[in-house]
Amino acid sequence: MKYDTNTSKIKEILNSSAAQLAPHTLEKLRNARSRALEHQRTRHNVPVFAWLGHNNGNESSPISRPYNWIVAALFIACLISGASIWHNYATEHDISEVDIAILTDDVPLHALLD
Amino acid sequence: MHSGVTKLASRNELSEFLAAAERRAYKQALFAVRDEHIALDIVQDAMLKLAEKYGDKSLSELPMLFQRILQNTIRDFYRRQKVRSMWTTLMSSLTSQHDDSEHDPLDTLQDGDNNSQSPRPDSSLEQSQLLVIIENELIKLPARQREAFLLRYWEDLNTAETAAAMGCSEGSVKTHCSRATHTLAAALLAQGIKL
Repeated sequence: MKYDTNTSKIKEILNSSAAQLAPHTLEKLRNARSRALEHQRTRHNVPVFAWLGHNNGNESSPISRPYNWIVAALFIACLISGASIWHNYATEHDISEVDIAILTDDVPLHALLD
Repeated sequence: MHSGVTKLASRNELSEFLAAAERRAYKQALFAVRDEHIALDIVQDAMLKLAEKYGDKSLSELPMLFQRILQNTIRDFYRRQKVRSMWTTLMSSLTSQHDDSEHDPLDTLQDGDNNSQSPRPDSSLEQSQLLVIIENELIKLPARQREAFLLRYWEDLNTAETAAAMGCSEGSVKTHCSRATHTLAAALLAQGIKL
């Protein structure tokens, strides 16, 4: 036997059913919606060097632009001073090795050739 | 002024979409799980997932995404329920001897004269009766058939969208819809209702 159903009629009936939800259910749905909206994801177009303050004028950011520049300057200063300290240490170390070798008569031939 | 944030669906748009979809989503979940509280939890989870993960999608993408999330959340509930019932059966089989002594017959006594569930005030109305019958028949449908039927004919998704939301082929959607429509028609006809 061939059965047929008027799906638009069923849709209409289901819509009327959804419109008759109890107030407490509607209230809970409203609360759930509000909670979901609080967690809405937003698309951030943050470039690689955003931390340096080039994030297209996002002025509301708690990390302000001058602060980023100060941090960057301090970082570079640390790098330069670190490199300088290491260079001095390495030079002194080489000289002291040669001094010790001269004192103990262990100077290799290639050192005298220089 | 250009702000570095691009929101394809604004908060208001997402709010309006959810407000329009939440009632139907709740009914869909209710048909599936038959428990108001669980249905509400499922809808809340689905809304939260949509907002958290896809809140920046365009408005046109939201209906499909929301349906996909909703159906997955319902399926997750089924899976958890299956595992829970397996453990419950296992535990109850181990403790069944002790439970017999604690059974209170008053807990399950039927009170035929004093029915605490009041009849619907508009039960005489044909529309209300029809609504109850249709909802009951929808609940009786196999889960996949009901899912396909509701997505296709209530949510107005086309076959491809329904297939995407259900994670199956378009052919399967057509089969599910056809069987659901046939079963519903037969069940309604058996009760003297022709739509």
